[in-house]
Amino acid sequence: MDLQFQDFGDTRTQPAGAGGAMGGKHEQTILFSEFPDTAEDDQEHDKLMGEGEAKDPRSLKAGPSFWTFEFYQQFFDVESKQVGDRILWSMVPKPGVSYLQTYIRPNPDLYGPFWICLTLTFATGITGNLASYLAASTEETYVWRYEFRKVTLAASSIFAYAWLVPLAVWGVLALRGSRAKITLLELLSIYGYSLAIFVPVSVLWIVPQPWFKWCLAIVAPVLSGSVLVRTVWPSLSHDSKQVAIGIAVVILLLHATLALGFMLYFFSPPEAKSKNDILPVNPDTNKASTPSPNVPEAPPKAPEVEGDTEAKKKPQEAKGDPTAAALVNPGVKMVERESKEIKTSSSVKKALDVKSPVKVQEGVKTKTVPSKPPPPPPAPPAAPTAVTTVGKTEEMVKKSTS
Amino acid sequence: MRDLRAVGTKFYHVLYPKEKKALLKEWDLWGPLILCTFIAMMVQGTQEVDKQDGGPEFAQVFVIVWLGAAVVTMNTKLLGGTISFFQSVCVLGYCLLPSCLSLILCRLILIAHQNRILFLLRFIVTCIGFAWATFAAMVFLGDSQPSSRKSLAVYPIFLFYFIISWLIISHSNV
Repeated sequence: MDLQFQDFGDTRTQPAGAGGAMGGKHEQTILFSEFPDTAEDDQEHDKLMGEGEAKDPRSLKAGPSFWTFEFYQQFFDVESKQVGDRILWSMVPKPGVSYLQTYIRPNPDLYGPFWICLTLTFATGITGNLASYLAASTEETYVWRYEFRKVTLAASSIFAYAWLVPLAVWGVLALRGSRAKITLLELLSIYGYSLAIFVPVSVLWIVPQPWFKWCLAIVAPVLSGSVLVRTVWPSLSHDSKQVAIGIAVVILLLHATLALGFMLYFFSPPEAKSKNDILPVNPDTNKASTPSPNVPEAPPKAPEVEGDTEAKKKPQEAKGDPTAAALVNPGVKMVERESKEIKTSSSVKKALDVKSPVKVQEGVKTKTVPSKPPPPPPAPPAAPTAVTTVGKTEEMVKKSTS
Repeated sequence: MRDLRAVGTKFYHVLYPKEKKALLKEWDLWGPLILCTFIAMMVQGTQEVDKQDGGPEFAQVFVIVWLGAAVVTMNTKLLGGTISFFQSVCVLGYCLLPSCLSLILCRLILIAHQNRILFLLRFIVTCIGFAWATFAAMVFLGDSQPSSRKSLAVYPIFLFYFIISWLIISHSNV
């Protein structure tokens, strides 16, 4: 008898779960207990579900919900080299290359802005203290104390600038109906990286030569500001020339005001300490008017300073109120420098106790703040009067100490 | 007693950072708490009228240490690190030990009348503490990042210990 063997070899030797299509060809029923997932199925499944896996955030931009951790991971998707490049080219305007296109566009990140802001905060705090220490060490009688509150003030102003100004610019661009869409994230990135230049500059600001400081204060915002403006320019090009130039000028001015504010507040000699802090908006009015609003009140307050300073100092600090603290007169500083009153005020300082020169200025500031509780985007009284009243302030200070 | 022994072991491993697993296996926050409280107490500025000191408040130091450790950890995780939150905070806190030791030494140096040489000595001591702390933290945390992002993860650790060291060196009133 001929034994005819049907060819069962294929089905028998195949693994149980493979190729479900084969099962149908033979009369044997083969039970498939497991179905392997193919690679394609997995990806499709993920995409459909929109779940963000940490490994592949880029394909799931619309996916992760705001409340998951993965949503924030997409903002940190950078390599070390990329961050280095972005920092470098934010300082140096490369002609013919759009900073945005080349360096930011594929994946804007928040790593740079955040850590640059934090670094800058502590850099200015530390180097500011160092600068005042070096300036003070030339005079034997001045006992230097470091000031931690510089750090807190620096933090508020830097973070306000780096996060609110891009928001404002984005809002303005959106309102004007800009066609070349820059997203808020890209603006935040650009602004964050543009602050990077101030870190080495703040180290250089320790050098006590005023002309050198002023050179830096001009060069640094020009360089990084130019990168900023060149980046934003394409989105403004559809607008009328005047508006576009106006917005560009405002951006540059804000940047320059920040630099000036740093230099004047953190790096001025201790006896001539002034606060020229910055409002994120309306820099023009702010700049013109910072000397003025509180100066008229300064002279009568000066004698009362000593007693109240201690009590007021802490709440004042706690408010971290940069805007209302926008006084003690850069005017004072400039007058001093011009008329070489630094020497007289240093004699004032010697007669005074340790920190009272600062306290005097502090007291002026703290006194004026309670009288103007809402931080003023100041109504600008005339600047020239500031100079004369400033002179009076100096006299009052001298009188109070003698 | 068991907890004390665990804390002691971890202190030992921070001082001699050879074995990577010791700090990470079981995290605890006792050590960081002790160190942070100690540093904050020592470094805070006085508020006496005749001795104006612009130093930080106790609470400010506390906030800097804990918030700083949390932020550094969040950064590591956001960059794709594979370490858990509390493990990282534990490591960062324990690695404050060298800084703490340098603070004690600085305090001892401050007993003498100050001049430039002593300041230089304090500076060197603080620098050594800072370098040691950063190195120890890197040993424990370094492997959790892919190598292309390693410096991105290390920089915040560096900044964290730098700030703490700055607080220590700036504390100069006795």
